[in-house]
Amino acid sequence: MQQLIGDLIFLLFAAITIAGALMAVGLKNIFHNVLSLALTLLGTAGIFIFLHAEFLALVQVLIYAGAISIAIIFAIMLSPPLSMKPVPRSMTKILVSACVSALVFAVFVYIFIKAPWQVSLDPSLGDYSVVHLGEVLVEHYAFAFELISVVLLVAILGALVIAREEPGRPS
Amino acid sequence: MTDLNLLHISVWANFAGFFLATFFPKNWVKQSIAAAVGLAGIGALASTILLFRQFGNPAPIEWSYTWLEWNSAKVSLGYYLDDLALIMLTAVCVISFLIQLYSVWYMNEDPAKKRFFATITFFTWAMISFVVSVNLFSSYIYWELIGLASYLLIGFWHERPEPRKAAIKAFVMTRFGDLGFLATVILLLIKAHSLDIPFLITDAAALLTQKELLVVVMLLFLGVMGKSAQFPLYNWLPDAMEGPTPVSALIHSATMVAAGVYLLVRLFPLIEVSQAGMQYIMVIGALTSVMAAILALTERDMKRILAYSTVSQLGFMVMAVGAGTWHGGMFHLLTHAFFKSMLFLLSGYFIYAAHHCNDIFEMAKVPLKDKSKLMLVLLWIGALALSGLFPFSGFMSKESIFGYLLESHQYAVYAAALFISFLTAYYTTRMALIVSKNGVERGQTPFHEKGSDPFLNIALRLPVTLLGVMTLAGVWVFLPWHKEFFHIHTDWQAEEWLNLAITTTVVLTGMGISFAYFGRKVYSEKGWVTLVPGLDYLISKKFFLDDFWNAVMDKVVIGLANLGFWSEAHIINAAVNNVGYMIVRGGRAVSALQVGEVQRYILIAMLVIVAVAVYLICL
Amino acid sequence: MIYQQLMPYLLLSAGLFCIGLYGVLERRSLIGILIAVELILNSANINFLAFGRFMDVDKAVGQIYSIFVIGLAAAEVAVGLSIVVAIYRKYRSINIEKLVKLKG
Repeated sequence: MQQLIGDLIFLLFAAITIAGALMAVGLKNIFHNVLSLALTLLGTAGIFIFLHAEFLALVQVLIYAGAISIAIIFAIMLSPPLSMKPVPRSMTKILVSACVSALVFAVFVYIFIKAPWQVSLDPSLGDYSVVHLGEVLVEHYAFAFELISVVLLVAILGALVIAREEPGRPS
Repeated sequence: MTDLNLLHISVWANFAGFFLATFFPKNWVKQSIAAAVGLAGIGALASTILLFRQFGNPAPIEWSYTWLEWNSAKVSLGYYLDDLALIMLTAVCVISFLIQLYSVWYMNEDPAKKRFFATITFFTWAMISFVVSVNLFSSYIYWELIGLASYLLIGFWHERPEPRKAAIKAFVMTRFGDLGFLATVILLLIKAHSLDIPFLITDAAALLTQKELLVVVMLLFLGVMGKSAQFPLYNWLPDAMEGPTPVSALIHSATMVAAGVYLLVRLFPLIEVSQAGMQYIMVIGALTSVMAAILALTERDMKRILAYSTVSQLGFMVMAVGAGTWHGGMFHLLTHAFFKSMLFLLSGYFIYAAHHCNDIFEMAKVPLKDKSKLMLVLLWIGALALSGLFPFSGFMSKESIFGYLLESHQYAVYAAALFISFLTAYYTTRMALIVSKNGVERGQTPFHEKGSDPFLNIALRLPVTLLGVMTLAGVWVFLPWHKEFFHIHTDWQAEEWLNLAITTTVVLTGMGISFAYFGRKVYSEKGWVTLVPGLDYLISKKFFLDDFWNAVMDKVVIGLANLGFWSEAHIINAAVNNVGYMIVRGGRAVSALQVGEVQRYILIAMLVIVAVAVYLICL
Repeated sequence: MIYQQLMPYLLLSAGLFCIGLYGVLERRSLIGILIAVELILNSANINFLAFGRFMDVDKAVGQIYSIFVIGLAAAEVAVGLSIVVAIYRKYRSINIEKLVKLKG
């Protein structure tokens, strides 16, 4: 019984994710796309919980759905010309892209089915806690941790430099 | 003075004359002529002494300097002087000297005479070197050099267009034949591994199969056809009369055209092994002889009569060699050289007498009292020798050939030779009769030989006189020495007397008919030719041979040249250019792949990934 | 018991990846492409966590990888958006089909 409910909720979140993704690439209005993206990210957060990564689900909601989507929304809304012009869609392009994507999906599926995964299903083995996450992060991946800070710093500075208006010219 | 030294002198004296005449300053004309003629005389003297010393000596003089050597084959320069080469050497040296002496008179008023003497000594040197050459390759080199000299001398008066055309015609036609000679040299080099003449005439025949030998003979004869004016390459010789008369006398009667026959005789031991080859040579020789004799029947130009006569006699010699008698052919070559050159020199005089006109009917208009008696007598001596009447030299050499033909039972050839002899007697007598006519019958043309200095007089008269003496008496005086060499038997059986009777009858018949037509006061121009339907037309068209070769040149040679030109422009050039165009177009095509659309790039990248994945899956 | 097997998560991430790929190939607007790229990154995240959960590894490793991916995604979005702004200023268009300066 419990597993049935679990399955149903899993399927629900999976459906939200996929539906959101389809809307994110399918809809015409770019604002709708962005909001669908946020929906997708929320669905993904739910999937994360199923994978015993609760901390990560929180991070996903906070940062991804909360910050990144909003950043994109800001970019769209604060520059009116960026949100204009719905462009007529080309059927050729849609078909070709769909075909290629389908092909790639087929390849993936085939590999997943054929590959001999050595799976250990027992959920109780292993430490999923945040405490353990922090320990490992600081102990083994300290360098990467520092590095990502630098990356973020550089990204911010870079974004500022690139998007800077040239002196004397109207935006 | 060793024999070898004498040989060196006779070979190189003329070269020294050529060298000096060329490199003396432009205004040293007299000195150049003196050097040329003087050195030619020294050469002639040396060769005559050599002849008296060496003739009959079974050991030939050999001297060679190896120039190139590979495997067992050698190309060397040097001398091989056996009796054959010795007698030819002396004949060439002496005749050449006499003609150069005559040229002093003939070219007296010509502004370019220094060039003339330089070229004619060059020719003589090349001819002599050809005769004594020890190696077939150096023979070929000298063969080409005499062709070059012939071209230079035919076109001597190059300001006029006819000599230029005639020179080119001669050179191109003989050059065509020379391909055959070159092919022979190459073939012999490959098959016999040696080009040394002593080797070729002794052991080489054993090294080749009958088929190879036939090919060699045919190719060699191609060269002879070109140089010695055999059918179908003879029509350059009449046109070569555009050159000065001494040139016609030396080159186109006595020496250069005889070089082909000499070559056949030189390589006779090699050639006679191939029966088919000999037959072929004989047939072509006979055909040439008859055709040329017919063409001489109605000719008006004295030099052209003599030219056709030369072609006919050369054909006769070639026929003799083909029938198997090299000594007969060689004998006739030598006697012919003397009397034919004399006849040409005389024609120079008679042309001068007719105010520089070659037409014999113009000469007929000059009164008899104005024509030099000496010249007329010598003319008749030459004419009778050419016709083959006893006791002139031409009679002896022709008899030798007739006798051999009878002995070897080649009756068809004998009949052909008789026919040729008849025609020769007829047209020669016609020429002599008309030239020695008294001008009163056909309207006079006065002539006065300019009183000139005695040296020029000697220059005119001495050579012809000496040649006349040789024609008349030469064979008889030297008979004890040369009768073995020419296989002359003086003890005559019934067969020989029968032969004598037949040939003399034929000759006298020809002469008689000629006298009947041309001997009287009112005489025809063309004789019995008009009686044969179509013959006059054929003769006037020269058997269409000129037209044939012109057509060949136009269609084949120029066609090939045009083909080459077209293919060079459209194929070779186009290919080279197209390589460049292809590269540029290829580059443009490749650069069209760079569309700049990022999504296209990603698309292709994904497709490639799928393809690689599928490939790896399928492994 | 679906959520206790590896395969559904793999299929989900594959599907998300392919939808994102479709978006990258088809969308004309630069921001649309950016959004699709985010989807791809998310699919990678699900993959990491799924393998972390079902394989015999330290359970913190998958999560750490995902954290870093999220961080990098954030940086990428920041820079990407500023580039879009700069492009718009220069070319007055964010239609990727018009941005073909590298043609030829």
